[in-house]
Amino acid sequence: MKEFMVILAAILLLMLFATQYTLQQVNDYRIGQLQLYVNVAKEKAKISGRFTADIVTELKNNILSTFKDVEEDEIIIDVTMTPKYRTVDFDERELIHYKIGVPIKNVIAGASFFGISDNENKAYYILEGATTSELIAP
Amino acid sequence: MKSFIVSIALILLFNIYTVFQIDSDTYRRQLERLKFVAEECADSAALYYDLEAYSQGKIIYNQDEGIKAIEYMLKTHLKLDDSLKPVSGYWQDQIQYDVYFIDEKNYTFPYEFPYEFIDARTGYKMYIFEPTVIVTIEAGRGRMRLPFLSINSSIRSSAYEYLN
Repeated sequence: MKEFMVILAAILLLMLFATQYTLQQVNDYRIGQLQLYVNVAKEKAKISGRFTADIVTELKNNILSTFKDVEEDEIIIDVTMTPKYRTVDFDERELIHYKIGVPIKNVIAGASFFGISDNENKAYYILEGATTSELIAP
Repeated sequence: MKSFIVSIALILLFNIYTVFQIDSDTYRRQLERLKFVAEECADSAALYYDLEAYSQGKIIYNQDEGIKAIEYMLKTHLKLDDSLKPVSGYWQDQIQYDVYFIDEKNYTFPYEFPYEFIDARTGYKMYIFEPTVIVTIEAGRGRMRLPFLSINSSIRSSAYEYLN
């Protein structure tokens, strides 16, 4: 009976590792996709000289299609929406900046088993950077 | 007692595997991001060229402005200080980079080319057909928590070609 209890407890604990493995795969895939989406949006913004409303909408839709458990208002999108122009010399004032953040809502599998609340089991993944504009000045 | 020891060994093994999985996933993602940064650096540096030479049909990159752009992009994306040491973020070693401006200052396109370019840091070979800026970034060690696992060199490179 003692042996059985030990095996049962071990199986329960090992099950947590199995679910953590799956969760990690999912989170890794989602974050990888987020990096791709942000890079594509940044490349489009570079050509347009700014993050246009269309680029932001497309980015949001892409994020929402991958992060099914995230609401639109939880996504952080802080980007340059005023036109920036290509310059002859490097000029920091004519750069397009972006800061995109998405909450990862399940970091640890079986969080309630360890007494971790939903709020504590959440982290924002933020991508921040800048890019030069290729838009020719009028 | 035997089941207890086997169970503890299994839990330890699974624990090691979980740490390995998280560390290797993070490292792979950071390498991908490093590649995007290298692309951004090469792309930004290629935007600045000598307008007088351009009016004569030649592409000669403005290397001073290109290097300013590269260093700004490195500092912004990888969170570095002025000496290119990480202040925060994933990387922990001083960032080093090489930049190659292959333009019509020293070469004539397209007749003298293709020219085989060999990256001194990676040994990677590529053929150059048009004026090109190549940026190679060496970010050093990855963050690995398992003591028996270490990655001492993380390099990503990108080329931006000016197509006529």
